[in-house]
Amino acid sequence: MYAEYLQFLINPLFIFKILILIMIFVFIIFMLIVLNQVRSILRTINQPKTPLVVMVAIILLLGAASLFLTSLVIL
Amino acid sequence: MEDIFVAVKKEKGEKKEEEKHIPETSERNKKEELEQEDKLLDKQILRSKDVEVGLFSSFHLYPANVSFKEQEEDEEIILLLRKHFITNVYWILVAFVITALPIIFFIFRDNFPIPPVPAKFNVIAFLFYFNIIGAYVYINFISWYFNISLVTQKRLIDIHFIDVIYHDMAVTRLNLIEDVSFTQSGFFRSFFNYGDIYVQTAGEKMHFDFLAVSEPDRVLNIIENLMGGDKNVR
Repeated sequence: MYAEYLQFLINPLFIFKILILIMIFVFIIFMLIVLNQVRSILRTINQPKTPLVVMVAIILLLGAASLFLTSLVIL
Repeated sequence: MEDIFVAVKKEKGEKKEEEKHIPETSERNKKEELEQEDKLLDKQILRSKDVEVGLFSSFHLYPANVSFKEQEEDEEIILLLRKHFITNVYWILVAFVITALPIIFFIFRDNFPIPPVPAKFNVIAFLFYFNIIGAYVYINFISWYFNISLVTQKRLIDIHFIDVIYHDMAVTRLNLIEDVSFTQSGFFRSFFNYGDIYVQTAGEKMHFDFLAVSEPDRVLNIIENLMGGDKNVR
């Protein structure tokens, strides 16, 4: 009876979707570590153009997060 | 006979005067040239003091608005060094190639086996792929950007930022430096004027290596001048 409801679990597209979501999630974690490291090194050395460098990291992180949400919705 | 003898003496005297005169003028010219060079260098330093370090700058004298942790109040940064920008060519080329790959794939799509997945999967995979390329470029750039060597009138500072997850900072005082040398070998290094500087110290960290820095001979000269107590280096 419940087997019918769990049919989607063996659907290859569903597995593919889960894999993509996991990969994007890992990527988000990685980008968070990068951002944290950049902010950490800013405490060691201060340079005039570093806000721009931090901003690029934030843009990449936001891009990955929005991609995660988009794939969660449309896939 | 006497007249001839006197005349010969006069000639010798004139020659001597001329000989004296020529070195004096050449010395004056040399002095003037050196003074002009000094003035030009001073102007360059004054100009560079007003200029902030660029995003792609690898050699900057008297960088403005740069400071580091544990910098003393009367300590001025004289030189900021990064690896020569040409050392980034490899990853820039790789980034171009991997950016072009989807285009090549699209042009020759008939020759590739395309998995039977809905278009929305392709769109997400495409966007994710470019996100990864962006991260690749960014990480390579910051690995270059934050690998800095600083020379102040008191110390040498070497900041390492390797593979994002590791960074350290090594400092040595100029009076602990025992030996400074540089190597510049190979076509690219000679053509683009960059090389490695090796500093041997009597401190805890025995070696300070400034790898692939621009104008290594000039850097060496600056460090040697600072070691000798010269505070107006250029």
